[in-house]
Amino acid sequence: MLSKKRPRIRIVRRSDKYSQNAEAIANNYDLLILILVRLPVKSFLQFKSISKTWHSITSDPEFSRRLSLDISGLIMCKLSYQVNKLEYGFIPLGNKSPTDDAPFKYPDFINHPSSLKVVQSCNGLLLCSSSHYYNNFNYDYYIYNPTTKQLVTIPLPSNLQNARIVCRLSLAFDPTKSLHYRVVCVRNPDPWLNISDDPESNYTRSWRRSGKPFLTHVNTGFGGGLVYEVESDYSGWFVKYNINIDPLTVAYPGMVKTYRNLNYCAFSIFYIVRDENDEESYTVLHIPEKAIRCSLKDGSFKKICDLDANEAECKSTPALILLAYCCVGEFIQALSPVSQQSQE
Amino acid sequence: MGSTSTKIKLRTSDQKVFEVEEAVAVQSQTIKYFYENGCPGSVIHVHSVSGDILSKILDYCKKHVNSAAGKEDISPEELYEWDANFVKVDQNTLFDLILAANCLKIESLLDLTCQTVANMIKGKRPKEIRTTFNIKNDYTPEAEEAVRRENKWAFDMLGV
Repeated sequence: MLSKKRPRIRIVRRSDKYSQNAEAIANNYDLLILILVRLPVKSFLQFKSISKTWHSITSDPEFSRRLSLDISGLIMCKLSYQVNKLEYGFIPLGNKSPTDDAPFKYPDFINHPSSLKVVQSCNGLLLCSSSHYYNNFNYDYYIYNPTTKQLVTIPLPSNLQNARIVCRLSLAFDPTKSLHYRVVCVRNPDPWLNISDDPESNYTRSWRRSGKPFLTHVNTGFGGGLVYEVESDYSGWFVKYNINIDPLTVAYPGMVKTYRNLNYCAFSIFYIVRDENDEESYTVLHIPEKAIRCSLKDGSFKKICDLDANEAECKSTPALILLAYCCVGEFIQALSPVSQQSQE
Repeated sequence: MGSTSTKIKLRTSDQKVFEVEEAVAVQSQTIKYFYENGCPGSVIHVHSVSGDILSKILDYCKKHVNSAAGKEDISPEELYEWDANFVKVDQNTLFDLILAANCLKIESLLDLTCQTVANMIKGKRPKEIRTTFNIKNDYTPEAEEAVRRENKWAFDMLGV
C-alpha cells in the first residue's frame, strides 16, 4: 500500500510490518554494527545521541577496531620557503564518502610560537612537530588525530632535552593489532623507543632503549618511474612496479620541460595504494598543476583533481619549479584516541 | 539452462515453493547447510523469508553465479551497476532484504544492503534515525546534551 506523503505532518504510527523489520534490524546488534562501521566517522559520532544502546555499541573499542581503514585522501604540503605558515592541500581518494574534505589547511592545532608541520601519517594519526628548532635546539613533537581533533604532546627523552642529537621521531600504529601507538626516536648514537598511551589501563609514557646502536644509511623507495620494495629478508631492493610515463607525457605535454637544452619530465610519485592481490593497486602522481591516478596493473590513468601551480622558486632549482606540493601521507578517518581520556 | 542440473526446492513463509538450481541456492550458506545435511529431495523451509523477497534474492544469486561462472558476459563494472540498481528499492523492501540475507547467510548481499542503508542514513539527524528505526530516546535531555557536547565537532559539521 502506498501512503501519500503529506509534508509538515509527522506520521507517528506506521504499519506494523514496517516498524517490525526496522526494529528487528535496530535490535540485532550484529546487523547494526555491520551498518554503522560503513558510515563515515562523523555520522556515527552524531548517532551516539540516538539512544544509550547506540552509544554503548559505538563506544566499544572492538567497534573502533572494525572500522575500515579506508584512505579518504592524501595530505600534502605546499612547497614554500615560508616555514612559518605552512599550507596543506588534499587529494580526495575515498569511495566511502566522496565528498570528504581536507582535514585542515593550516596545522594550527595548538598555539605554538613556531608553526607546526606534519611529519608523518600513520593509520589515522599524524605525527607533527614544530617547524623549526625551538626548545633548546630540539623540535617539539605532537600526535594529532585529525578526525577527533585530539592532540597530545610527546615529551622527548629527558636526558636528551639539552642535546641537539635527536635525528628523527617516527610513529608506528596499527589499530587492527593494538590500540597503543609507539613513537620511535632515533638519535645519535642510540635508538630509543617510547611505548605510549594505553587508553585501557594505566598507560606508560616512558622511553626505553630499544637496541644496540647501529649504523644506517639513507634509502629511497622511489626513483624515476620505478618503485622499489625491500626484499623480505631485508637483503636489498628490487623493482616492484615499473610505471611507464610516456603515455602520460603525451596526454599532459606540460610535464615535459627543457632546462639548458636538457629535456626532463616533471612528476613526483606521491603515494601507492595497494590492493590485497594487486588487482586494483594504483599510484598517485603529481604532475604540474594536476594529480593523476595511474593503475599499476595496466598503466591506465585519469586525472583526480587540479592542483595549484607553483608560484615560487622559479629561478633556483629547476626540478621543483613545476610541482607545488610534496606528499605527507594518507588521511584515514579513525577514532583512535591519542591520549588517555580524563577519568571521571 | 541444462536440464541435468540438480534443483533444490524451497518453501517460503507464505507457503510459496521455488525450484532453484543447486549452484544458485547454495549461495546461501544456510540453505547449503540444510541441503548437505538433510534428506535428498526434501523441501527446505525458509520460514522467515516471504516469496516476494526470496524471488528477488534468487535473482541476485543467479546473476552473481552466472557472471562468476562466465555463463553471462558481464564486466565487473556492469555487475556493480546491476547491484546498484538491485538495491534501488523502498526502505521496507531494503530492510527485508537485509534480514533475509542475514538469515540465509549470503555475505555479499548482506554487504551490499548494509552499505546501502549506511549511505541512506549518513548525514541524517539523530531524530530522523530514531524515526527510521523506531527507536525510543532513552536519554534524559541533560544526558543527551552531554553526549552532544562530547562529540561537539561532529555535530558542528552537521550544522545542527
